[in-house]
Amino acid sequence: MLAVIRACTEGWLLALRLPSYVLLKWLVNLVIALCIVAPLAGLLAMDLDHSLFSAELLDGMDLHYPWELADRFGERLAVLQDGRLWFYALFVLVALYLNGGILTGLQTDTKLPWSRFFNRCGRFFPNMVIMAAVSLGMAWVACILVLVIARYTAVPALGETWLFWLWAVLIAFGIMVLTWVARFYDVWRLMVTYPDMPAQTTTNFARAFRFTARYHKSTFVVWAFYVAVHVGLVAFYLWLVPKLGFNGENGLWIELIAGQILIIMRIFVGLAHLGGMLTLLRENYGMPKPKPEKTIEPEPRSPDPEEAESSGRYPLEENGESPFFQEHV
Amino acid sequence: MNPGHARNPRAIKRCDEGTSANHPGRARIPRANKRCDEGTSANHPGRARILRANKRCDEGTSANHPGRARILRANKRCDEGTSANSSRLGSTLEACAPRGAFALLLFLLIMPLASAQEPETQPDPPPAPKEGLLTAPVVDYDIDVRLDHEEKKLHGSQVLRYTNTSPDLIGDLVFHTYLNASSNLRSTYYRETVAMDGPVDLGEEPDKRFGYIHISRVNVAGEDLTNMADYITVPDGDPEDRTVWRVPLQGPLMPGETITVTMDFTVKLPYAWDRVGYADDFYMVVQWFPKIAVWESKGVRGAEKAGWNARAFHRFTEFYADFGNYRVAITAPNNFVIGATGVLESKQETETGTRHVYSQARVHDFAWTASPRFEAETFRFEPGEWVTEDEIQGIMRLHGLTREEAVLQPVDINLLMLPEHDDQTRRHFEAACQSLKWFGLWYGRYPYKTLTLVDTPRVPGRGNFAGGMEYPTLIAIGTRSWNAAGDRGLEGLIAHEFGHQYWYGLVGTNEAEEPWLDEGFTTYSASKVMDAAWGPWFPYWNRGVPDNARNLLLPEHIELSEILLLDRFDPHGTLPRVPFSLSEQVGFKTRSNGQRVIQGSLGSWSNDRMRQYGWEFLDYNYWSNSYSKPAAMLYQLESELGAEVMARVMRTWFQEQIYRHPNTDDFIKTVNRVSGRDMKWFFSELMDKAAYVDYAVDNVYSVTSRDDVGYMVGPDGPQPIAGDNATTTRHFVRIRNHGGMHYPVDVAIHFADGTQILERWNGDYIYKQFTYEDKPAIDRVVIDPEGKLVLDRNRANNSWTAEPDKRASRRWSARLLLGVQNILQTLAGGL
Repeated sequence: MLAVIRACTEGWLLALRLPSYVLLKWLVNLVIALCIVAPLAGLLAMDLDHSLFSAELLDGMDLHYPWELADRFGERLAVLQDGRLWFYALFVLVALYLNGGILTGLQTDTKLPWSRFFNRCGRFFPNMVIMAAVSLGMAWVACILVLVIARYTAVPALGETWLFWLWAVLIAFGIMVLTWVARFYDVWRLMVTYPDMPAQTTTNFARAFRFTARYHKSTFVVWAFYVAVHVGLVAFYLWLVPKLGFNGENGLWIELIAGQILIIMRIFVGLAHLGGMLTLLRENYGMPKPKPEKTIEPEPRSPDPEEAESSGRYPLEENGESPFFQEHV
Repeated sequence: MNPGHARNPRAIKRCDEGTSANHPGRARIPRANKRCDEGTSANHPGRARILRANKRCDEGTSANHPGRARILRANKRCDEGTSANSSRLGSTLEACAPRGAFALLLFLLIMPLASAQEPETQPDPPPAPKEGLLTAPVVDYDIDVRLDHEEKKLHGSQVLRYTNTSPDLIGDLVFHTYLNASSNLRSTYYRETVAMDGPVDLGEEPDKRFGYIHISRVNVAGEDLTNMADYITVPDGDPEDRTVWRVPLQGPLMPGETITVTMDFTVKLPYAWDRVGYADDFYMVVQWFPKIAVWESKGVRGAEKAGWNARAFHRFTEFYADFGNYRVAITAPNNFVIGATGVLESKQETETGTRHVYSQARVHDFAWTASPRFEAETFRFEPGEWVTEDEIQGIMRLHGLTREEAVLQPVDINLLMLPEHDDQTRRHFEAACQSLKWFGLWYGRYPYKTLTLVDTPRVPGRGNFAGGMEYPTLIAIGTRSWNAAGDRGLEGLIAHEFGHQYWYGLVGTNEAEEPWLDEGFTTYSASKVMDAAWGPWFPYWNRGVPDNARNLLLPEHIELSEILLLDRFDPHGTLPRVPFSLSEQVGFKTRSNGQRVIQGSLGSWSNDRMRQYGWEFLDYNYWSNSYSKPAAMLYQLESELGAEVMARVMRTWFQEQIYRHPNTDDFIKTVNRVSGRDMKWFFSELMDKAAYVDYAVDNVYSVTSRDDVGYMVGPDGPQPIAGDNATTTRHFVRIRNHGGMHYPVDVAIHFADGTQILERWNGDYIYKQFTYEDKPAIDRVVIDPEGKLVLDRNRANNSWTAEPDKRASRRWSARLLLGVQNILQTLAGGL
């Protein structure tokens, strides 16, 4: 329990050490988003700036307006749509590329020089692509599970209240499976980028799988905590912005700045989330072992040296693997 | 004929020249799918629930009638067997002698029939009804049918007395056998279904999906003609379609004569088919008996030749039949609750079940439903409780009516409710009462004594297969659980289906050939009822979710809000919702009943020619061009003529065409006559063109140039133009017609000095340019400044201002940017 609490608190501290990474991610996000939005903004300006209709749209978007716009500028928008897809794909690749450096930095006490940061980005990029693809596949399977439950049990569930709650429990189970995949993905990424560990994607797949399965409650609590913070952050933004009632030209810029702060905070929370998961990994290293009678492996020789404990770097065994993974995963 | 015994397709006779569909391109093939609701009745003794006398029908919802007491009277049981509209209609028309003689000669030449037996005339015509028909009654049915619950079959026999009210000699009789469209995948219906939706999923028990009607015996005027009758192929049908059946006569049916046809038939009901069939112990029995087609003389509804108007049963088209009397005896298992067209006259237990006898005069179809699960309730619509004196006086003033003409009459509303929806009983009754009130006030009183509403079940995989359909005095609705009171979808559906009692039921337009005349009118009228009764309507956001996205998560008949329990947690519909129709912000007047009056009609993809046969539309543009676009056109007509003139047009249309078969041209004549204007241009633009209305300010600019140089050529030869290098500024306003529809429109040009010029353009061509000299700069241009052009698809481009206002585009661009950034961040997987 303490390990979970520490994971929920220390993640923030780990993330706070890396403001430059947060800004880098935000910058990438902003530039690519601008590339996507600029043509559409031009279209909007062309259509609205000289229209009396513009004033009517200022404070509330009629949902049929974009529908109408899409219908009128269909061909042009189709071209933009194709372009947008490329930018989205580009962003995903860049994000995966940066993950290697960011995760390495997260697990390293000292600040990585930028050259080493980008070196790690490049080194782990193939691993990141593979892990993302595999996790996405697993998430897809979990989604199908949820959809199948939802779709084929919805009809009888509408008949009786107790059947509805049973249906809700089934859905909750499906969602739990989905979150499990997300947690597994977090652990897997951390293990692969763990300093001094071989960056073997397949070997670490099994380790991450076992770890997530064994500590599914802890990982779920930590995962849910950070997701709740994330959702709360977005909800707060959505609640706050209309309350502030941004009007006029200045209001527009304030709204834009507030939105950018939201994005930065989202990136920060994401980093803290992985920091929390990392803390959980480290905490579990020091957790009690399984009961002796059920243990088929010898007792661990000793805790790691203090310096290793504090630095998060663990000595390798003769076979090249860390005792951390051997004994606790 | 059992489909299994289908005769050699090659032997199928094509429609005889004299018989069917001889209007080129106007094949007359009827379709019979609408839901009629006929004052059915709820005759299950143990289930009739009495709503207490002090129950209010609507809890402050409806509105415009403050003091109206909505009291559900201790209701009459439906099975009390009220009135006796069993009188048979049997009047005849005067024969046109010279023409008749000629036709007789022609008939003898072209009909090589050996036997020239005279058709039997009705010796003892039934007495005329109390409220006479405006046109002579044509059909008189006596049907006896038994429901075989185990076999899902009907065993029936019918006696049809058919009167030739035309001046023509009729050499054969043509019947609709609609249910055969469900008999196999070679029917016109299924051919079209496969073309639209791909292969048909027959499920695990394919045989359940198929139904049929087999006529085992036909006797005409005492002569057994079973062996001479056969299915025919009509021009709009597939060669193997079996939905039109013909019986050649031994001798011609003379004008004014009545012939008696007796038939035995068996029906196998399909499982949850298109509006008809069974699901567990629920039965919706519609288009189930051999129904004679409509004989149309030359000139009737534009026909070039006399003949039967009989169409194949298509995927989307509906029905067309003659008015007359129906007396139907239905025998069903004792525990079944029955609802049917008309009034229950008697109910008696027999060895094979309980026999219910219904009758109704002046209708053109008969439908019934049965289920042991129905809970039957009756509420009497008392006009005095729903209509104020001011409303009556208003109608009298507007139309110049006497009080006698304006007041409404009581109607027994029978509701057959599924027990799981009994919490929505009052909503059903109130919606029916509001509909009876407003339709009655605006167009004329509902003439029948009963109105029956059927709560149809939802069936996995087939949805609400029977609901949302109209039949004379009976409408099939079908609600869902936890239906929020604030979501007026249920009321909108009831108002719409009730509207068909007027536009289809009473004004008997041909739904197959001119679907806009019933669906468009109904959409327009029901929309106005919703506005009058409940005001603007905003459903939950889930109605805005694209169907494909919703269906990914849920079966098609489940609403997203339903599964999220929104209705349960928010029974009064107070949660934020998304406007369903275009909002006032865009300049379109919001319509309230969610029938997509504007939205569906304005997409360029859907703007087809409105006046087409129903089967000529593709599936999606059938809906938009039969429902929403015509309704929008009627709103535009109202805008053009003014509300009062439009009200008079609609009332006149109903009053003059009740119990008749009018067509589009008749409506145009009515509009012209009542309004005193020639509106042909209006209909030809809006109805006969595959176009839409979208005017835009294309460009506004000024050019300053010298024009005091060069030569001016005159009688004295070219003279140099003397000038002092002065310049002239000309202002240009270019208007563009994006939609291609030519609709006159006003254009207001405002100048910087506050002056204004109002131009008018008839919308010809694509561009129109206005040029101004010696004027100050143009400040703004506004197309349709008074907002009369309801049909304009996009009002955002209807104006231009010299001073740009960039706030909106920047704000929404910024929000777009933030949206994309958040999407990207989500795609990044949390990091």
